[in-house]
Amino acid sequence: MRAISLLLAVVLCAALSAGAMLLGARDVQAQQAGGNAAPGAHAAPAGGLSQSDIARMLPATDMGAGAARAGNPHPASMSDSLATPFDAASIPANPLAPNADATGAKSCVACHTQENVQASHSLHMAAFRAGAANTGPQAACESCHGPGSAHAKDPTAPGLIIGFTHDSKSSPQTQAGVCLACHAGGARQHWIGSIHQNRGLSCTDCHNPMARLSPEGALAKSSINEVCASCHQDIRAKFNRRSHMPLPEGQMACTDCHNPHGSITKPLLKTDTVNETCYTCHAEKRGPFLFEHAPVRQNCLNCHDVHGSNQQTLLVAPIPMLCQQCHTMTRHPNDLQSAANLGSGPFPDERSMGRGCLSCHANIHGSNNPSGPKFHK
Amino acid sequence: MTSRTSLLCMLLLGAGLVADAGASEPPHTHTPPTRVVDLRRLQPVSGDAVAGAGKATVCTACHGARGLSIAPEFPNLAGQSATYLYVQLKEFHEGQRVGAVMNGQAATLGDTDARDLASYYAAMPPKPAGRADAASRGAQLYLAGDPAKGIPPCQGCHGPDGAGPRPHASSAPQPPWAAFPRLRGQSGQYLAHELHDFKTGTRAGTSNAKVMQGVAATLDDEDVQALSAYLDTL
Amino acid sequence: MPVQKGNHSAPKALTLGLLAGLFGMHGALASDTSGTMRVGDMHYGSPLDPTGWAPMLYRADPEGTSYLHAGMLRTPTGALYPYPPLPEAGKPLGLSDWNYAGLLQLGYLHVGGDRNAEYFRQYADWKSGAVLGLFVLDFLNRRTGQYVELRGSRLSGDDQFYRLRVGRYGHYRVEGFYRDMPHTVSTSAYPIWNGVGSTDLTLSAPLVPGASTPAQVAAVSAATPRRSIGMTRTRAGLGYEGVLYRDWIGSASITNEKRTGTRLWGGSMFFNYPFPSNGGVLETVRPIDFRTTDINLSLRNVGKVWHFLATYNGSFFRNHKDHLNFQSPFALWNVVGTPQVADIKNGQFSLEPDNDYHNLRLDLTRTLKWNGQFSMAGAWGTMRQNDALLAPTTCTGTGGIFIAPPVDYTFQCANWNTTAALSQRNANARIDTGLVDARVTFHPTAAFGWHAGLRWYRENDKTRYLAYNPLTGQYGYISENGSQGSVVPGETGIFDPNNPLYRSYMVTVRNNPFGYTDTIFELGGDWQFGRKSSLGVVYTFDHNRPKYRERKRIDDQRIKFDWVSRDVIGATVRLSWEYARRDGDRYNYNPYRQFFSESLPGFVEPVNGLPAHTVADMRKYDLSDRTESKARVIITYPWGESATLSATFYGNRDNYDATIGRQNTRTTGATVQWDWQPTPATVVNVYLGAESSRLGISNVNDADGPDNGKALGTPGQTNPNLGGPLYPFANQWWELDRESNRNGGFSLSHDFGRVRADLRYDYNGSFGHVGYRYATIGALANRVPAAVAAAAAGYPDNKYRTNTLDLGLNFAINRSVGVRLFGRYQTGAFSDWHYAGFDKTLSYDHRLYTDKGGQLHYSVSLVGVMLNLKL
Repeated sequence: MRAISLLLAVVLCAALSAGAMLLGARDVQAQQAGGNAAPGAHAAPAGGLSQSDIARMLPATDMGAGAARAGNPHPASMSDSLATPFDAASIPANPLAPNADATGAKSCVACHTQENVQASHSLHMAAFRAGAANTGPQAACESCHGPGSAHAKDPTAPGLIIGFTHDSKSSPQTQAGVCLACHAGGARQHWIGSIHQNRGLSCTDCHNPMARLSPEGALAKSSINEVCASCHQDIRAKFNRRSHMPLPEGQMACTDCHNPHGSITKPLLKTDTVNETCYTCHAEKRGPFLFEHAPVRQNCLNCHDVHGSNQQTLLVAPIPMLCQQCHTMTRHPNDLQSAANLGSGPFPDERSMGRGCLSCHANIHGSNNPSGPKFHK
Repeated sequence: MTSRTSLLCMLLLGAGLVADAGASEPPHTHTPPTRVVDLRRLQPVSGDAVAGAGKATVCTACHGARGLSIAPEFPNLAGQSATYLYVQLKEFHEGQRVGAVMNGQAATLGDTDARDLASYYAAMPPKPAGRADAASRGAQLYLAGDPAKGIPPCQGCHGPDGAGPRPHASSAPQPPWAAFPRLRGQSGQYLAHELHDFKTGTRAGTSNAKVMQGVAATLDDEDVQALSAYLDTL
Repeated sequence: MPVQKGNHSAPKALTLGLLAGLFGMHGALASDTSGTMRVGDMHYGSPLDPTGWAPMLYRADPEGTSYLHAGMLRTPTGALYPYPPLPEAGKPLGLSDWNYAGLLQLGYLHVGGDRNAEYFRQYADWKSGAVLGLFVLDFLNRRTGQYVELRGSRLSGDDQFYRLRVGRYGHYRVEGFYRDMPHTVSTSAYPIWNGVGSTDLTLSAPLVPGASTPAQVAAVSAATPRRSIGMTRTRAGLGYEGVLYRDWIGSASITNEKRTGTRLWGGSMFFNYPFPSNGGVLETVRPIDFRTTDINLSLRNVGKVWHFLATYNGSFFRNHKDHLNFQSPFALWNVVGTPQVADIKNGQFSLEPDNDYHNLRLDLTRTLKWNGQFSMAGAWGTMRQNDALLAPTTCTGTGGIFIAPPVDYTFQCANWNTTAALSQRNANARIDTGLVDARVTFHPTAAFGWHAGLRWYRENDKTRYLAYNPLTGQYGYISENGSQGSVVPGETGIFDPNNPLYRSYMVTVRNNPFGYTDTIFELGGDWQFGRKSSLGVVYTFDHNRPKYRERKRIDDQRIKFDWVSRDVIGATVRLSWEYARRDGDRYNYNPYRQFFSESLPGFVEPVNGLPAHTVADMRKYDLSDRTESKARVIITYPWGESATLSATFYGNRDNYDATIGRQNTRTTGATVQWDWQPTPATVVNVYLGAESSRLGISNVNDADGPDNGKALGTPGQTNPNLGGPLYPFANQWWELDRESNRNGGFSLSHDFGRVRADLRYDYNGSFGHVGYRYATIGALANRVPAAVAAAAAGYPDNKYRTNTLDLGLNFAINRSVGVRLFGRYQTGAFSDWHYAGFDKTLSYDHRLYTDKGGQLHYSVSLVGVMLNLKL
């Protein structure tokens, strides 16, 4: 019954996606072709010149890169030109200001002088500027904020430029879409569907490309760990426990194991499984061993609380209790150890003192010894 | 468009524009913000207009009894934003804004005097509307700016009709709107002079002036004339 | 590759340019690097400056980021962005387009107080002496976007990093790094052996292997000087990422890690608890001498419609010390039979084998209609090792026990201490993994979207090992290097179908190649309500088929609701709640027969039958039926113009359907934090957090003595049921681990102009209590009145508490020279009943411990003075 329902679900899922892919192929191309087309003529304002007239007087902000791609979804190489990759940045459409036109960055920085000073020293703008040095200032304010003419005339009207801050009227999807237009693929290939995307996070919740708040990574706070801790305060607290990963000591960052931009695992791990992430540093535990310990091979989290724990070596429970959750076998594993069996008690017992069970079963992660099925060899 | 034509475009357009268009690199030396008045947290000010009337005697000599100046080099004060007027008096008083006559006049003004005077002039009826040429270059600049030269439209901050900013309600951090002046019916000659002062940095004593400095830098003499002419008749 | 066309570098910068241009190619869309794809080395910091770049962020620009509004803007969620530092454009390098900027922070650090406190230096090699806080040298060509970045920091030779990056924005990046990271495991270790850190732990006079008395051992242990146990990770790597051809971006990196040092380890010469003055339980020290070389390659193509990514990860682990031999000081004697023929005094461990790992993965993503996306990932991986196996024992002469003819439980070591005693000489171990992950997402309208996902993952252990000794024709192994069979007759670990003495012994004869196939289906929808709120629902069906486990099928069904609102009286609230139920097929409490001698021909059941392997009512917690619910709320409240109040509330409840085994876990916690930045010069942070958690288990003592039921070996011991003669209800017991964690603190930083002061205080307190109760004293390990009375007192509480106060003063002497004075004072308290009594002695009859555990109290101070230079 279960197998059937699972099979049905799989078939349904596959059929839907296949259908959508077939249907979608043309539409996507058409949309993308249209997306970069010059905006149509708009109602002329009282002044006489229409905004599209003004726009024509400007350099195309993407230097025609968008037009070059219009018919071909696989972008032609720019490698025969002086263009840098940043020239490919086109002006994103702003759904809340469909009639706005690009005005060029110079108009923007006329008012936003201090913003310009700060942004100019950010990594993001340094990269943009390097592109501008060769081929002109293509990638600038409007490459991210969308066409600015409507905003310039009425700066507080909601949504007239694409905003990335708290009061922005632009949806998180619109915001992320802007960033992903350039920062697509690679580490961000699985952004859509990731928990951070599902929770409506925007790129600018973690990044601020407008100022040098961090020397690397264009972060929204001064370090990766602080960025993560702005929401995951409970996880940060775990790193203060007796055994912990060396985050507070500056030797590690959350992003050493997690990819906040999305991955194919629920906890946003960089590898296919939990264990593969752990093996990256703890390669000796990868084995495989002649004799395996089932919960170890299955999932490190069965016994370890990886962020931090009140037990030795990140264990989820004190030994021997940890082991006695499963080991009820006859003879020595299932005795109740008590205060009598401590080093200070009347009947010291190796099962609860020091390393407890691990005093003998030291190779608990697996043994490669022919005499090691019980991991004490 | 093929990549070859786009390359051509890039070369043609890029050649002329590399130097000045776009997000121009700001000066590397960071000018120390000495004495610059930070108006970013300024709340609208008010005073006693009646008391202000009593203190305005000397002002009328230049700015007229009805707040409309006797000569085009002096600004019209009638109907101006009280907060703006107050800030200017404080600037003249403390020296951020330089004006041979006004520095002297404001030297003896106390804070209450400045508030009262500002309120007094703000309460006066502004100069009646003129017959501005909506097709003029000035109107074009005021309403739409000139993207090719990087001139932003003035109306964004000074209002579509020059009667001061009219911000939409928003929870976002806001500029000190009350400290932005109304330009409608202002003396064109005065405006031209002030734009020149902004551009040269002569008038740069407040955070607002820092904004205007950036804007005025985009205007050449013809633009200033066109704008002044338009606003004079608005 | 020539220098970039049109690069007017001055001679001084030419070298840099050459270097930078080495790999430079033109191309498209190398927007940024894929660092967040690879595990590790994302962050370079130090205990002195965890961010790794704090001095680069001072001082804040008093102008803020805009003349148009006061304060800083907030993230979409509502947290304030910090004030950015005053921009530093760098200095020109000759007449070229290159600029440079640099920073040097170096000075002297003094460590006072209990500098060897374990938890003070767990991951920090604090030492009095000169330290390099930070060294930064950045070069940037503003025109071409080429850059060279050098960073370094050094606290000691075991705690340092250096990194060089060379690249060109949007084109390529080359990175090389070297770093050392310390890990202290214990600072109060007293190993009695010579050769700590090597593969051979030997005893020297007055101790004699296998012939020393507990008193002699205790005396040597007490006289052993204290030492630290720990290791250093030394990593070095070289990586490249850049445009290869047209839109193809490739990356390649090689990383090498050396891990050297020691760790605490075990050493078993059979039990001591049932046999006073017999056996041997030793806490030894093992060597760490690892080298791991990782190779990561990736190739990606990012098109408008298709995204393609291929990655290869290879990891090659080499253990230069693959075994540990140790001498045991204690004498063993056979509990039955005379005379004593065996002389077992050495123990041995195999340490981890070398291994090779390969993983090849392809990711393909396609944009679809209805704002949709189809994404597919497939991976194949393999982990392999083929290390030479060690012999089953290292003993010599005769092992085991001779009672009287024909009851001869002895074995000849010569038949077992050679690899000729093995059915295969090498491990030939291999696990292959396969993964397919597919997902479709559609957002046909702004108000509604749905997604479906399917993940299939298999882990297949292909290792097959039969414990058969061709020299003797016997199966099995030599338990604990011969010690077990030399104390208790017959318990050698051998099964022999041809010997009536050994034909009924239950021993492991095959390895268990655990594996599983996990299929996860997911279907979810999300709805947007207005501009500010959204609701998401996800159903997940996780179908797992483990191999050679108690269950063949485990199904975990899960439904999760999440609600996000961006305006609950101004706050952003993220709330999620999930409920899961897990069940599966019949639970077979003993699926392991095929791996034991009972599955071999010639096995004869003992007269009273085979004792039950375990209690049938046990449910292992990774397989048992379970209900789980989890809830979490994250609130971010913008408080006025310059403050943010944020809080988290979370909890989970897991209930396991197990009479014996893990029964429930629960966690409840809350955090609250207040951040305030009234001006660029002032930053204040206050935080508090509390969490309590509990874990409950139940177990049952088997009737292992006449005083708690029928003794082993009597009829009825084959009954596996709780309540039967072997597992009587009277012997059931329950244990509850309760832990509570409290933390709080504040930080305050203010810039007075010439001097910037920062003050920080952190408190952390963790308390644990393990409580137990039992049906009758039959559950207890010891049931004599003195033990029962001591048991009634309960375990003492565990505690880990630290208070840390940091104070720093930064004096600006001029624009490029500054002095930083700082101090830290930390106190700590620790107690853990595992180490109870260890402060008095580490020797308990035939048990010897090495580690005394963390210091019960410590206080330590750091004082430092640093010179800050802007280069």
